[in-house]
Amino acid sequence: MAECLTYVSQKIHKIRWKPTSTTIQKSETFATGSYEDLANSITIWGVGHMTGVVNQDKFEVADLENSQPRRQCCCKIPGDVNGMEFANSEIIVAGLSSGAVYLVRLESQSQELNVQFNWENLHPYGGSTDIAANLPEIVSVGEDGTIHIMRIDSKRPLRTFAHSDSCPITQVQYLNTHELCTTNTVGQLRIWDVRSPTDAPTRVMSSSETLVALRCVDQHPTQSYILASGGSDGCVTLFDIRKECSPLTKLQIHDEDIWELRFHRTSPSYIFSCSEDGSVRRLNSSFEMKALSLGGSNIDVSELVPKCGSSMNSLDVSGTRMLCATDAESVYVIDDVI
Amino acid sequence: MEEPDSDNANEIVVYDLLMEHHALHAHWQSGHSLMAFASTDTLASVDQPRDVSQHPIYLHEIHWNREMHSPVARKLVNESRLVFVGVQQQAEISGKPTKSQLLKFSRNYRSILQSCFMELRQKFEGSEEFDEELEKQMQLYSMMELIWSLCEILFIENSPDGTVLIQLVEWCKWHFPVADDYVRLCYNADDYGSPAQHPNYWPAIYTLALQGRTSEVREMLKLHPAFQTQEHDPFASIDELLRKMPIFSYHQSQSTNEFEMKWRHWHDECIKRFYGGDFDTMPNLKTLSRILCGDEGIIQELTELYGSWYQMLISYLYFKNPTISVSELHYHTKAFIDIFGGQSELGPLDRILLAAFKFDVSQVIRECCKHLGTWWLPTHLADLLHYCDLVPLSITESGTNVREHLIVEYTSSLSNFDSFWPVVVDYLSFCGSLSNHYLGLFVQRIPLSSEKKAAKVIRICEKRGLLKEVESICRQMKMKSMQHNRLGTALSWCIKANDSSFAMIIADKMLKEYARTGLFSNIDLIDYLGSSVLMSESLTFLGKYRDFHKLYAAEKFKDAGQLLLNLLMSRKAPLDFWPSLLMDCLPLLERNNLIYDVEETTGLLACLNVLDQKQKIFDSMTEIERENQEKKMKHLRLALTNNLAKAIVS
Repeated sequence: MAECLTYVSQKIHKIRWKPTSTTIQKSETFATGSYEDLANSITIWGVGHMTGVVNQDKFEVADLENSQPRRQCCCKIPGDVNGMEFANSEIIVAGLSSGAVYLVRLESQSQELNVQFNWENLHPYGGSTDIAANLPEIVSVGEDGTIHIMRIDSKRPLRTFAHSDSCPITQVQYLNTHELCTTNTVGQLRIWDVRSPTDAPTRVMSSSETLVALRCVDQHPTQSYILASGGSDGCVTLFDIRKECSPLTKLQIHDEDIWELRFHRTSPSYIFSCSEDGSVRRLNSSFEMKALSLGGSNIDVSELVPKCGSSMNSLDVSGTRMLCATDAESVYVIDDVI
Repeated sequence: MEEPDSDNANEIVVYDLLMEHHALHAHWQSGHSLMAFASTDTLASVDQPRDVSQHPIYLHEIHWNREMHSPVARKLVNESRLVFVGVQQQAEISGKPTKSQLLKFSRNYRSILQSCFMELRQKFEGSEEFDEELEKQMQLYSMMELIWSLCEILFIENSPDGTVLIQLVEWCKWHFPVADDYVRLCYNADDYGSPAQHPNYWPAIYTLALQGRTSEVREMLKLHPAFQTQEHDPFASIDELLRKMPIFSYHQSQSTNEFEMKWRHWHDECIKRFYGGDFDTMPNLKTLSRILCGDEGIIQELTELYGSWYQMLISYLYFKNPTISVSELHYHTKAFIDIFGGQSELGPLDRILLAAFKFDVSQVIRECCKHLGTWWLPTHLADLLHYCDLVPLSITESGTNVREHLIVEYTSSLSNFDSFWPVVVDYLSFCGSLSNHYLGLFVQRIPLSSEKKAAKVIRICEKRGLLKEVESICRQMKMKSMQHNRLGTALSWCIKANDSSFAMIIADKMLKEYARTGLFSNIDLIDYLGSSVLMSESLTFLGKYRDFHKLYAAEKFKDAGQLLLNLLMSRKAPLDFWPSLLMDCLPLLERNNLIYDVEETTGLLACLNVLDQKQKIFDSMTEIERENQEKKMKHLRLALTNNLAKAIVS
């Protein structure tokens, strides 16, 4: 496993690989969104080919000269980047702490990053906490419990679920073209239908009796009824949305809050999680529902990055490469994670 | 007590139109900043009207010492934090880190300094215009690395007697590439034919020799056209001396005495050859041989080849007394300082290095604090030396521990910037006996800009047992949510903080809202409270009331009715909510099936009577509301009486 650590002089809140046109192609570019800085920004980085070199201790290490990420371009943003996604390979959407949502375009020819569109004041109290994109729609959720669904070319939101959640919403994901799922700070996973006439969720599932916050959620790429969510107690909770409301199983993976959780897109038996305790771990499971619900399951947990001394805020995986970003203003690029 | 030094005071002029008639006032902010403003309080006399409306009123933020926020400084802060925490954790595990561990940590720090310097240099060389700020930073980092490496050799490595000079010679070689510059010039010269013709040829050889690089001197000498290996030739003679110069290496388990004997033997041979006239034919070689003999006069002649007194000191000692011990070094410093202009010519760097040579650790730290623009170096150096038992416990008048004092100063310089708060927390956690006290104070000043940040700060407080601060943060977040009318969020914070009294206030508020509007604002939270609902009576009541609504919606009327009765009979409901509760009975009473039997209906009538007697509930209502209320109560009484009749009959 080749690993490369770079100090970027910015606290990174979100890090994302730029999507490639095919799944086989290795992504060579990624974006970072910063926070808690005097001047926040979204930056595009290029990573070279990571070659493994055998050093004198006979361990394979990354050839740092060639594989250190290089800054390509950046764009100043007036607020902490709380949520960031590549809507497609040229458009990045970001939800900010100021309550605005920004749409930034990456010009591939001139290697520039420009703000193309922005929606102001969507979340006046607490700001936006996460964003998801399913073009031409963009959804933003906030600490005020509001969900806004916007269209890429329209200034006014298409649909708003105003204060539909009593508590701050922590993450949002598109399940399919008309359904969303969100997590909040009292441990609830909710499913919303965009077309629904009322402002209430279609399903509410509670992950624990003790109101432990859920921080992140991701959907299984092929078995779309499986949702995995990470909580403030370091547990990964798996839900089967075909069934009743209680979670399928709960696994203690980390010691502290799990900030981000991702299924691997092409090898969905892997889940990657990063946590406040500073580590990145990988779960390997076949996700057989029967086995899981009975408790006797074959889940392997391995540690990809040991506790690094400060919170690991975000991660993204593409192919065999993983990116993770910490509160110590550093970025890890790790190869051969699966 | 030192007088404030007016020569060193920083001045800044604040421009503000209002200040023509008003005084300048200022208030301290956290970290190194002030807020200045024109104040209307003083100076405004009776004659001069306080007319400030014509000019806009400004707040001026003045700050200084912001260099810790440049990109390279941020890298330094974050990388060195890891090493610092590593040192403390090692100390916790094993009581005191071993010398080799301390050396490893010291080298980590140095490599961080070096990589920062390299990055700055890349930027400097890459930019088209001359950047004075970058150059200053480069100087600072290279100076810090120089100081650190010397301190590492003298204080941390603290090699056994006889070997320190070899390390110092290495130190000179790496940090003062004077000789390499000369050599490079010689080799690059195209217009001189061969390197030996270059005017810098002999200076290159002399400086190489002064840095103890005998094999390289031999290489250079071979380039001279007159070089031959015949016997009795001056070149051959000097080549032999250079080849045979003994170099002390403690890896070869040679004792100091053995080496000294060998060296003396070699030294005598050098002197013999010099006085024997071996080099009389070649004045340059004569100079070279005088260097090898450790001739004091040569020092004076070659002054311009040395950059500084410390390089001179090390070269001289290398050829005069190579087995000198660390404690004896400072005896020789005065002579060399005098050659370079004496004490008055000493710059800040000179003073720091001089203190190091004198083995005066506290003086080194003091000088670093005074002259370097950043607290980084003295803090981390003092911390490492603390574990060598070299840092004295107190130098400040208040008697605080040196290391603790420096850590607090360093963290103050960082606390200007919001993004460094986790770094500050880490450093304060390890600053000594008052760690928790400082942490408690700092944590209360972290701006809680979002729920996620509050969660992170709470996590850190919980890890360190700062429970009072956790409560305080929960309270702050709760009040913030209340201000924005986010009752559900506020309730979730109450639950987290186990604050049952405030939970009661929120539950009561929710109930009032329902009584007024007929709608619950936060059903989605209340329905899923789980066991937290037992935290406060009002909350429990609220939960049960919601259960009643759910039962009614599910058409389980009998169960709903029983629950409602329970709520009223058990007197758990707040009195001003009773009208609502009783009105909820109405639809149940109007159903065809009998929900309440005789006893139950009697109980309900009794409740109604109690309500009638409590006039104060109706006091807060308007005329119209009171009329409506009375009508409703009449209607209810009628329905209850009918129900009683039905119950008795059936």
